[in-house]
Amino acid sequence: MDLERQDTFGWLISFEVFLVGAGGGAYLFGFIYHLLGIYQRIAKIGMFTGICLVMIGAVLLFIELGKKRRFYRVAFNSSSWIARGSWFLTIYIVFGLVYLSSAYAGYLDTYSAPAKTIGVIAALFAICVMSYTGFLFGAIKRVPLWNSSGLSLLFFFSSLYTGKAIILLITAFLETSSNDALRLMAIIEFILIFLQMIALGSFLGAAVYGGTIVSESVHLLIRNTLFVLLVIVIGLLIPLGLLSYLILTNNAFRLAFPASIFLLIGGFYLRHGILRAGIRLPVSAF
Amino acid sequence: MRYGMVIDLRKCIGCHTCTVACKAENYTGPGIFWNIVKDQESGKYPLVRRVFLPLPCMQCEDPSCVSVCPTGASYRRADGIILVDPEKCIGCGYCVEGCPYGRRYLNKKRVGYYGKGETPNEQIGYSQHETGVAEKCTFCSHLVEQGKEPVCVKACPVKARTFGNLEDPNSEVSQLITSKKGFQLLKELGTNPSVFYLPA
Repeated sequence: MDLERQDTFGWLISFEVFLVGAGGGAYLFGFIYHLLGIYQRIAKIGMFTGICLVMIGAVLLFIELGKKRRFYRVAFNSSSWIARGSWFLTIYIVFGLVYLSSAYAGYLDTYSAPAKTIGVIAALFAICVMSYTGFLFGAIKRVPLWNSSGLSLLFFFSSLYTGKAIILLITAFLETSSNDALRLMAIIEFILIFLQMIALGSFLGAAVYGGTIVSESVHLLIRNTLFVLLVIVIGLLIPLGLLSYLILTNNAFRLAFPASIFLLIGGFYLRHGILRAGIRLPVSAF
Repeated sequence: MRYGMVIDLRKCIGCHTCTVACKAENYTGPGIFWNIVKDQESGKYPLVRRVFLPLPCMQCEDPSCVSVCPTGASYRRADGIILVDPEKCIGCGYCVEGCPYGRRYLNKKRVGYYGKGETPNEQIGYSQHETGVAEKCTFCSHLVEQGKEPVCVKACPVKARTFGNLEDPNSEVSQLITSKKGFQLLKELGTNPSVFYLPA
């Protein structure tokens, strides 16, 4: 049987999908902290970074279009996940910017009911932004590896931990960050990494038994040295070790910086690897 | 009315006349094939045989390419033919991967077959195609509208292809499907293609 890999979605799309997911995650965590009234500076920078990353992702999506002048048409067919995604991105960016600008400029009390509503809408659409890419690729019947509900769950968890990694990175950067803040961030990140490992294991495990084409895709992933190195070793295991050390010793807070960088590298390559390993259904008369 | 096609795999000799006729009729550029013929093997050694599988657009009744298209540029006509409106397409490529049969292409840029520049014939032909958008087999809708058959049907030297109305139980296509156990490709996906194959 002749098997062929998909070649429609390349590096740029992988990067766009990563930025959108991580950006949504960063905003979500930033908003939660802001709402709780803790780590205000980290929260604001997190929300700002999250919106910027999603905007960069949207620009990359625009660059990929064959007819850029007609970009506004992207939202016309509600049955398409690209159209739905464009709505999610737009609403998230608009509401997120309004909430963030009120938080910075102070023209609206961010703890007032209207401001909170705007922030919550942005947070809800941040969750949509984090999830929709999984559904977008999941709708493609031609690639059995993607055509499962497990992919959206995997991409959602990936968005959560990469978004949190951005918050962790910001915390590590800010000199004013307290050790308690870093420790709390590290503990949350540790839990998210653990959840991501379960999601990845379940996704690959289920895929192995999902038929010839899907299991061949999984073998492609496992045989891909870069995937194993960047996603599993550098992207999950090493950060897990670094954060464990940081949490247990309550010291060595400098480790948060490499840990978050590694997590982001792994998060990107996870998406790229899965897109690259997409083997198409063979069309055969037998 | 639902136009459909029946392809007899026992008759197809893999001469690629349909592919060439399609290119000549529709002026598709290098690397773009609205119709292809796959060369496949069945059985196990020593009982192996070659089967040629012609693949036009399946013109599905429930087409994935239409549901994934974000702009609504891909649409299904009342006669069952799936078309792309080049004025609406944004060239996102989602339908190219969204078609389970791989029968869509993104016409990225206008290039001739013979190195730099285009021949006068190519200049006329390629002006019918917009670049940066998706394109596909149209069942030669411009010919069908004139009451003619798609060019691949007409050009086939062994008459392996039959074209007609699937909703008419007395049409030749319906009769062939019923009497010779016509089947669809990747039926399990639920797209209900309008192209049927007769077993090899």
